[in-house]
Amino acid sequence: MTSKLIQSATHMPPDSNQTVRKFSLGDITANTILVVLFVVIVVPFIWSAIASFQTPLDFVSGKGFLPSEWTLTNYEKVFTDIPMTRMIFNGLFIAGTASIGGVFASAIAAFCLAKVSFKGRALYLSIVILTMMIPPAVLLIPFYTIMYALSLIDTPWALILPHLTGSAFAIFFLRQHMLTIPHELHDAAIMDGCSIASIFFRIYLPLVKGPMSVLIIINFMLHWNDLLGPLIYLNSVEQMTPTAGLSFFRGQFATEYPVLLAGSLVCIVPTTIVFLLFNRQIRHGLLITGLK
Amino acid sequence: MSQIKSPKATVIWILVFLFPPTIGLGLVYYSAVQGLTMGFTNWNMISSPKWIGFKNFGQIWNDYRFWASVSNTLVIVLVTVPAQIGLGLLAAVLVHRTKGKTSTILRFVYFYPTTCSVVALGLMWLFIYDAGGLLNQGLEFVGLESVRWLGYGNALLSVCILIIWTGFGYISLIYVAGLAAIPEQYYEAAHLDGANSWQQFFNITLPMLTPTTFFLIIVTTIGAMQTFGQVYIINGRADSTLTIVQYIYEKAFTQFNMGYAAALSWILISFILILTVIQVRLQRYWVSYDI
Repeated sequence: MTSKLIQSATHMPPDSNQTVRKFSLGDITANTILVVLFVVIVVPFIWSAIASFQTPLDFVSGKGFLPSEWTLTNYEKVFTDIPMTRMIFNGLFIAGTASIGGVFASAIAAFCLAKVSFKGRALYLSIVILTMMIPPAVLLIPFYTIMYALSLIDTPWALILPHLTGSAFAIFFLRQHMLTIPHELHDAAIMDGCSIASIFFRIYLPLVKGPMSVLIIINFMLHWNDLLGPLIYLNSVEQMTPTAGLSFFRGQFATEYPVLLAGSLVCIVPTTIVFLLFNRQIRHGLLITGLK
Repeated sequence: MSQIKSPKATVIWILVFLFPPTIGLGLVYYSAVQGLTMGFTNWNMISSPKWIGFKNFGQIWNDYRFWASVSNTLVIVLVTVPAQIGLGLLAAVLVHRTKGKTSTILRFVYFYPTTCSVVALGLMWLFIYDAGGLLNQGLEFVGLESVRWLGYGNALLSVCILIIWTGFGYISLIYVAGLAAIPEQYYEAAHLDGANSWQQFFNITLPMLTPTTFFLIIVTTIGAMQTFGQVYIINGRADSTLTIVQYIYEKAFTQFNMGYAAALSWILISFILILTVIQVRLQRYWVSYDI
């Protein structure tokens, strides 16, 4: 309260001061840097987008910014010469199932570890948290051998199943949220003879929808953009995701580069839509989770 | 905190609820042990693994490709970590001054590349780095000589530029939050004492952001140590951009030399651990948690 008063009392002089020297050298430099950074980020996208409408002839001649003739051939080739529809479906299936299933499994476990008392609960939680210390690089090869033994190589399940067990981070993160929910809510439900499952689904699940959706959105984007996983596990073109598929077709289309650019732009469309829709949640989620 | 009490009904439910993570725990711990022991074996996935002690590590020591990957990875860390953090801080401080729609658009655009697939960005930048690509056309336009961006000596630097271009928006996002958390009163007090903007920046902003900077250095270093996607796409000639993770990938999943690759991952993890410990040790000299 007092700090607010101080703020409002002291705010006047600096403010009026700033209006006097609105276009100082510092402001001009600052705005120039902001504009330069903006241009540096945007131009590669625009440049690639324009080039993706070029005819192969225009591309080979390599001169001029605008194509002499706008064509959709490159995009047609992305969907005919490269099985992009199939790849997008694979990518959506893997990223969607892994992120939704994984976060859901984590939420159930988090509920159990936050709100149900049983012997060894603290120990179980520490064993879960300890897995966060194990570097993913150490697990890469053993996981491959397990998936190989289960003959899941070259199926989407090799990429989905390891995530359906829930992640230590999501369990920990959602448990923290559930701990803040007062237990009076479920006390009444127990009185009425509700089962533990319906307590989770009716009371807690709706209350952690926010943090769960943040985790699902971020995980979806991470899975969609993943390259190493699909490269390792998926061999046949029909099983590939757009990221692995594009890198696979890179050699074949080296002389038809606009096709690869068109493919790249198609590949970033889903994440762009998700980012446009959930811009605020994603940025907020990255701040509170520290995920990248 | 009171808990749900009705043991008979719950034991089965607890087993059901904890079933997926328990499978996951089994997988992870089994794999961790297997991953650690595999480094001491000779295994190509066909014959059964043979225990060979430290032989893999001896071979790695004499493997010039391994040393090339280590040196490339360290160059990536040393170039991209300071550059990303510096650029991210600059962008954050400047974005923090803007208001309204401009601020929203700038934040959106700076962060946008982070959300894009590394493959898509890599392919875009391959085209930009091309002999007749955007960069060289720009250089020619201002009357400079064109550069062979993907040539032997330059490819690694081109990879670094791509990483910095992609990643500084994430840094700036975290810094903007850090800036918003600095109490306004500090600046007002400094203003009344006659401190100019530069003095305010170096005596308030920078020290108040040191915990954020510390976090970002750790996270970006760990990320840069595991660079893969960018170099997999750009793929400079004659190992000029080979990184440690790319070498592990190649050994394990194109040559199926699993033991050797597991030993390599051992070394990568030790490097990351050593770098992190050094950074944690050094933090007391420059990170201020209270002012």
